[in-house]
Amino acid sequence: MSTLLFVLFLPLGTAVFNRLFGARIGKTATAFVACASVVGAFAFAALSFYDLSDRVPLARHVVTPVYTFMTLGLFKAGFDLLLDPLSAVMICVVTGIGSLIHVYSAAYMEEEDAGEYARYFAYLNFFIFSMLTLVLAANFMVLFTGWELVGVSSYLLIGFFRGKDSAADAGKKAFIVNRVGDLGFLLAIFIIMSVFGTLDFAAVLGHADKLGAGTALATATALLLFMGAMGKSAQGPLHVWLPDAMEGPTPVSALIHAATMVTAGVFMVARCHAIFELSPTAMQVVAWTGGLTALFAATIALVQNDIKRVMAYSTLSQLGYMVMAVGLGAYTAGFFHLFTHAFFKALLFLGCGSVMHALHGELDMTKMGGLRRKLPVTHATFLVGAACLAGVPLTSGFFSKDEILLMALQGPHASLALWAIGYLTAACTAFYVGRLVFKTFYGETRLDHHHYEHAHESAWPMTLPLVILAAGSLLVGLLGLPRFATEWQPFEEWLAPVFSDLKPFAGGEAPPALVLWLMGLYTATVAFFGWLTWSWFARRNPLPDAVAKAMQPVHQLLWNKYYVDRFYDAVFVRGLLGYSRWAWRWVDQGLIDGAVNAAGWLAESAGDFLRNRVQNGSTRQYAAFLIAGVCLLLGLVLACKGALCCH
Amino acid sequence: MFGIGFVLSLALSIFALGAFGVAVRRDPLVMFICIEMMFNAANLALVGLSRYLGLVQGHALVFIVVAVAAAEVAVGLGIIIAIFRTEKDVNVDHLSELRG
Amino acid sequence: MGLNDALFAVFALGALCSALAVVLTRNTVHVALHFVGHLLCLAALYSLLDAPLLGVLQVMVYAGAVMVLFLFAVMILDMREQEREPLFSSRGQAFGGLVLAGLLLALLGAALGHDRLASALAPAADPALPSVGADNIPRVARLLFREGALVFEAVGVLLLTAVVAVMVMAKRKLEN
Repeated sequence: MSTLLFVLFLPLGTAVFNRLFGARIGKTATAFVACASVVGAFAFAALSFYDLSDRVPLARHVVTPVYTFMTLGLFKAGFDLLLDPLSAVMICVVTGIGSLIHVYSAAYMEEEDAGEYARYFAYLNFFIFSMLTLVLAANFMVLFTGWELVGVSSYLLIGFFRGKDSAADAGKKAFIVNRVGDLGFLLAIFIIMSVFGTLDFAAVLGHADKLGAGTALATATALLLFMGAMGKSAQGPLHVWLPDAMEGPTPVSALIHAATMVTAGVFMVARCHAIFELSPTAMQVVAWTGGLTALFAATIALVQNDIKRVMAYSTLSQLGYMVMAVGLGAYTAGFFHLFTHAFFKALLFLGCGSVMHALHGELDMTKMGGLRRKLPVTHATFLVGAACLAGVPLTSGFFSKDEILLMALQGPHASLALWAIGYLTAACTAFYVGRLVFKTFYGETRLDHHHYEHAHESAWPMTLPLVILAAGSLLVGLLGLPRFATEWQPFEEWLAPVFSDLKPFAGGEAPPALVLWLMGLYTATVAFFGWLTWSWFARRNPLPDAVAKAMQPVHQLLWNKYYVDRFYDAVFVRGLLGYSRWAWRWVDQGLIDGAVNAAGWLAESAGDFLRNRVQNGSTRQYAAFLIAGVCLLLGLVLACKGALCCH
Repeated sequence: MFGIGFVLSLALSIFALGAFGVAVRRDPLVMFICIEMMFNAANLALVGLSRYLGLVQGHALVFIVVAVAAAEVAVGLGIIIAIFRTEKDVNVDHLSELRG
Repeated sequence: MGLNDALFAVFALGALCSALAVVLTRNTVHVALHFVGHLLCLAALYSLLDAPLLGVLQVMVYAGAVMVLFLFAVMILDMREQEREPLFSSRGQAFGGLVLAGLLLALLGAALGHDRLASALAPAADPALPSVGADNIPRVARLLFREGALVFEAVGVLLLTAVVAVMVMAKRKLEN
């Protein structure tokens, strides 16, 4: 499938081109080249998707070798691409949403000068290439390469604004935390290499039972793989980089930290499900990590005032859902949520960007309000996205989240506790989404008069993607309607060949009554919190502040993000710095410099001794040495002849 | 009664004494005398050995040694006088031109 | 213990005592004189050891010419300040010298007392061997002027060289 090569290398080519020549050809040309490239890639991706669908389901597994690096005996390391239902969906999402974000960026980044503009688009294109490499990988080597490349792209884009120290720090933090996760990923790859002798997916995942079902080895491998996923998808202890990543331009947050890069972890677990299925322990760990992260992040989002931060924690939370889903064995459900989430989260982030653009960079929602009159399109699309996120009935988010929660109750590895966590998270989600929407767009404005009057809707390159994404958010839900409602399950059927090796779930279908009852519960919850936040935030109301004051300790804890960052700083950062300082003073200066200095001192003293103490011109001393020398020679000769010992 | 062992021991003792004197005394002339003493010790050993081996080669060697020692004394004293003639302080320790 | 042995003992003791005196006396002139005594004792020992030629030679050449030369040198150099100084520059030096000398003595003794050497000498301990003192002078003369003629001449050249050297040194001094 040579179309794949176009998909992959078109963005790379324009990335290099824009980096080298973008400044010279002007902003419009740069934007055009970059956007055309991604749109073109999307066209080819869609073409590949269509070609794949032409085939019989079982044959939808096409490997395209591009280049073989090395052959060591039986081991072959090659840059191979795999097109199967899973990767086909991913490339369409990446290039599709990517194109919309490119177009959006053309207007959003208008204020930058030509050089920076070109740099931005070059990096953005490079990211598309990296992500495509990751999802199209046919073996662990390419997967890891793509993994690292997206890390690099993320670092470059987070720290895009030069001169902003916080941006540079955030970029570093993202890369370093990712690296910690990558340690686990690499160890897993080493284990795989030593057990299987190859890194090819077909060989490894097709015969995963070589690791042994339920053995410590399988658990270890799965957990190490998951460690990499935790880093990339910001789960568990490795989540700290994502909120800080909001330092980058908003379209970057939309693309990388909502729709695509952060989903790489979920993608990887789904891809390697054969290994995870071998270890129920590992899957439990995955599920619980996801669930707890979801709840943890959702609670933090309750009290944040920075609109992008709220969205960042929301992303963490939704990623938690996806991870929980794959941990529960509900791969299709998790992946469906990934799919819908890409649409509405990108939409929400771009909406935030639109608001920021109108208010000249204001991010604090406590300073906003009443924007629905001034930014109608943004407001309408934002509402759609918010509804999906909160899980308003009949939106795509509703269906995908519902499916995950159902799996928590009824799925292969069901757990009531996890369902409860998921439900609580959904409740929190409804609350913070409502708070965000109502505080930003409704009620009396808290902006100063000048800013409020000058706020206006953004240009078409920004609003058009918003509209398209809103439509998408509403429509894609139809692809994954509950099974009791309709037999038509295009999403599930499309992904079936990928997960065909899973044992069919013995528990059977969930009774429709239960499903409907649950839906009712969710709807009631969303409605309740919708009403609550409307009354609290859509107009002036002293109640929320009173509540916050009453629950001050809890509020403090959430406001400080459970003090995780402080803890990491104190233990790891300061610890490392302390060790470095010690190593510098005692090892480098003391030991190594000391050794070198000692060598010099030794040479100098030896020289001094020889010249001033031995060869000092004193005749008597020379005579004495003569006699001593004679004694020495005599002794040697006698010793050799054995005269000194035996008698 | 006084066999070869005694003669050799005596010669060795005188030789060692001479060595001691060379190492310790600071007066150049006395040092030189001690060197001469070492020569004589060697001569004594030679005479003793040649007597107990019944050979005269030892005597001939002693003859030559005495001649050489005399020549050496002449030259050595010349040098010593040449160095110390102008110095008020005749002390070998204070010479250091051989330094380095 | 016959007369020979008694005389041998006396002169051996004398040699040893004068050697000690040479090393331990402060006054340079006294040292020279002690040395002369040492030489005379050694000459006597030579004679007792059946080397009459060497005994006489020792007195004539060594004690006679060489020591006179020494005394000349002593008189030329002014030693008066020297006598006030202590004998040894430091205790450490004296001790070191003692150690060195002792070591030398021990090693040489070991060398000479070694089995092979001792056994080579054992039969020589018997004084029944032909004495060397019988026709000493002719025998020595024969050795020197026949087989060792080259060596003898070389020594002569050496003496000549020494004379020339001393004359050169003396001449330079006079010009200064």
